[in-house]
Amino acid sequence: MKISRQPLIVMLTVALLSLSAMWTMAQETVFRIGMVAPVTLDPATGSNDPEVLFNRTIYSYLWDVNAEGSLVPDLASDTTFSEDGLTAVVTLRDGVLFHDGSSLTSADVVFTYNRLKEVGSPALNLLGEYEVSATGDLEVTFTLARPNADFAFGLASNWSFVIKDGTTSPNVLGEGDAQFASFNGTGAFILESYNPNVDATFVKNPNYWGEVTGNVDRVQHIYIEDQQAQIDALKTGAVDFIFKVAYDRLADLTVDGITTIVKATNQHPVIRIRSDEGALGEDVRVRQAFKYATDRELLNINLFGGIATIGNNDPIGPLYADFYAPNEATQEFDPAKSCELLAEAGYPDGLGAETPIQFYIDDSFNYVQMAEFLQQDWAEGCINVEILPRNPGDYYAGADDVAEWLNVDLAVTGWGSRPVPQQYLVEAYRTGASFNESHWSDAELDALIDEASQITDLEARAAVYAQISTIFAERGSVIIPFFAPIVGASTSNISGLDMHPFPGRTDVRGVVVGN
Amino acid sequence: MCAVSSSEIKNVVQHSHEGEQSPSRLARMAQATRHFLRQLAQQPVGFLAFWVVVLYLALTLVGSFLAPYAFDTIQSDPAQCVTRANGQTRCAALQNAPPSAQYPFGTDRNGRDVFSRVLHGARFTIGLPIIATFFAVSLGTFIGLGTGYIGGALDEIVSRVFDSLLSIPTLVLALVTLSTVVPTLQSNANPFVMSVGATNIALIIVITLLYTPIVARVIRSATLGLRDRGYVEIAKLRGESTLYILLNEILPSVIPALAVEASLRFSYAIFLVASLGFLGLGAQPPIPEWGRLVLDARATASTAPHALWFPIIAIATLIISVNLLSDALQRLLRTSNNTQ
Repeated sequence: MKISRQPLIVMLTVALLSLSAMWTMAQETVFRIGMVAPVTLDPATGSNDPEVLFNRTIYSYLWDVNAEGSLVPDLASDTTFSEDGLTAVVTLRDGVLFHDGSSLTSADVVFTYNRLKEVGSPALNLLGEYEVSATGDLEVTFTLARPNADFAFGLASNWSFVIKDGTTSPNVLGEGDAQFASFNGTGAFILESYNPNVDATFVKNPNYWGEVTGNVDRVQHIYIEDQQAQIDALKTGAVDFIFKVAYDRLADLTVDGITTIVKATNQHPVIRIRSDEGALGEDVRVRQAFKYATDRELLNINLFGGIATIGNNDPIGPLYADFYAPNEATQEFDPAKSCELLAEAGYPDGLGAETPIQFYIDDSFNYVQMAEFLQQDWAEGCINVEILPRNPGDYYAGADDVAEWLNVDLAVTGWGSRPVPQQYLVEAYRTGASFNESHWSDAELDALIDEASQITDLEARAAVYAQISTIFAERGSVIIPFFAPIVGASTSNISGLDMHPFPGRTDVRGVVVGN
Repeated sequence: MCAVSSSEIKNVVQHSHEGEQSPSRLARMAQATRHFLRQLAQQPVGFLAFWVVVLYLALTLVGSFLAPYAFDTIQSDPAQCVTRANGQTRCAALQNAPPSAQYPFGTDRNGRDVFSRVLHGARFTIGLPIIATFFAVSLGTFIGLGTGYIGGALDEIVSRVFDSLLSIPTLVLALVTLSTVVPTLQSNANPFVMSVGATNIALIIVITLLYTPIVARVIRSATLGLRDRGYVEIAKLRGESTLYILLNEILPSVIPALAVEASLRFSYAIFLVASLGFLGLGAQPPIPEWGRLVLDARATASTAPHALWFPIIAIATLIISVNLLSDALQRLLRTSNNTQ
């Protein structure tokens, strides 16, 4: 029987090509991160860790904040402030290219910072009021309405990614070859594929301007909603790194082949009592009752074995060594005092005596477990609550007037680490702030927050923060029970990974895959 | 409908009045029950399953009274106590303690007695499916009897609606319904809803919605085979109302099929409630519904497996027993039909 040679040659060629492709792929180093899926991809508004990490992989900042909390230059080669603190001149690095091959110019920075204002980005909380103009091809001048000691941190905020001039809708999937055209940054990796809620793959940018000390050719974000599934994926080698793991899972991760990372951060849950007119915490005695009914010390032992730092009722945590100090006004657990305050406030039978108060929980970390302990503590303090755990996606979803975390009376919200305490104050506690979830308004506090923003002297600023801390203890609408360490884990063949206190800001340029 | 001559009708009516063709409803039910129990005793596995189910049903009623502790009581660890400036001493939770004489199933991650939580949990894991299955079976029976007996356009419309509902995967329909119903109920803050629990009401709605069409379909099939029987025709000739015929002539005859279907639906309802609890969509903490217990214990599976295994064993033994009982009932029914 005669066999035609032609098909045989074609088959052999295909087989050789496939083997060659497989060999090439096997040689590439891929760093796979397991995490929940991002929802808001716009770099000016995406706020949680997966969203920031997605953008951080593609884009660069003018200034960055490293894992130690220090400012480091990114696209800015130099920044000078005027004597009066009202002008900042930023000089850009030369030779920086966007992923589409175009050069970075001052026009891109001007467009980026004007767009932050147009979309009302949370970055404005730290940047304050400013005007931006191009004063050279690679020079940008910011003119501030008033001195702002944290302006540089504003340039490095989670949302201050520099995008290409004219990109009015960044990170929107296009059609055909232009599918990823609007994902155009200057970062170390270029978006190669994106399947919403499934995965995203980024390939090394061959024209990257900065230094890459690691050996990662591709970064893959694999979206896994369930934390146990993330842990299982790590243990089975399906992903190389996971972060924001609940503390009680640490024992589950203490196995051969896994390296755990425990880092002190300023991350904290905020137990907040809505305090505007007609809300549960309108009466300051009710707010104080919750504080007296919360046993912070035992929460720390029960939830963290005592290694977390007990909070003061304000977000100025131990990471800010210059500003943090235990506050004497912080309430010690005293359920009888709680009952007494509630009786004075017009609740002789306690709060929620007839129908329990609905207590909404962001179902992250160990917050539901914390809520169960709180429910018991509060019951002793004459406060009866019903626990309603919420998937974070649902809890934070929706417009400001319907999103649960901004509207319900009583809730626990998770707040990630921020480089400066001022950021929390302006984002969540100043009257009318975009994330003022407790709707608390205090003129004295507002004035102190504004005052602190203009003080560059550390001691003077610490004095203002001490006053702020006392106001929070005496009439604040939130309880910060503790500042929690953050837990991450990687496979043992990963080195050079320095998890950021805000894990979404973790820099993967130094990651080495393989021993 | 079959054609019946007037002489035949006269004859049957006469017999009927003598009580030979149509025994009273109660008598028929009592006879059937006695028959089933006698037969069940001859099937060792089914009989054992029956008693296991009875035991669990008893726990639903009295489990809370038998439990040594309240389901949310945190046990103190005397080795970790804190004495405060005001002299008050308070101890940390006795977390993940292994089974012991004091805590037969150990304690969970919050220091609560797992044995007490499992006993209390029977009320939620079994009680809720009982109520929901009752609604689904009652509604399904009523609709099935009606559509099967009346037929025509009504039967067509209802059947197509049910077919549509049944084409949606159970868990998907449950998840969608829960995610829409629960927030709506919670936002209303109605005192009744608050006292019963929005999630409990939503679960009853979900199970009723899911299982009513299935029960209705089974009962409709049974009714189609009965509606032309002689005693039904006789009842019609007597001028009985449709409702009377459905409840007194047809319903007693579908009771065996209904019993099997109800037991099956009950086991599926338990499974669904536990599954939704495990997914975090059912009972909310600290309610010790067994699926929720498994979810909570999952985090400490490697360090405190006892907190995971006992609720799993409880769910498994209950569902297996209900299924075995259901199988036994089916076999009995088949034997009974073959004998007839």
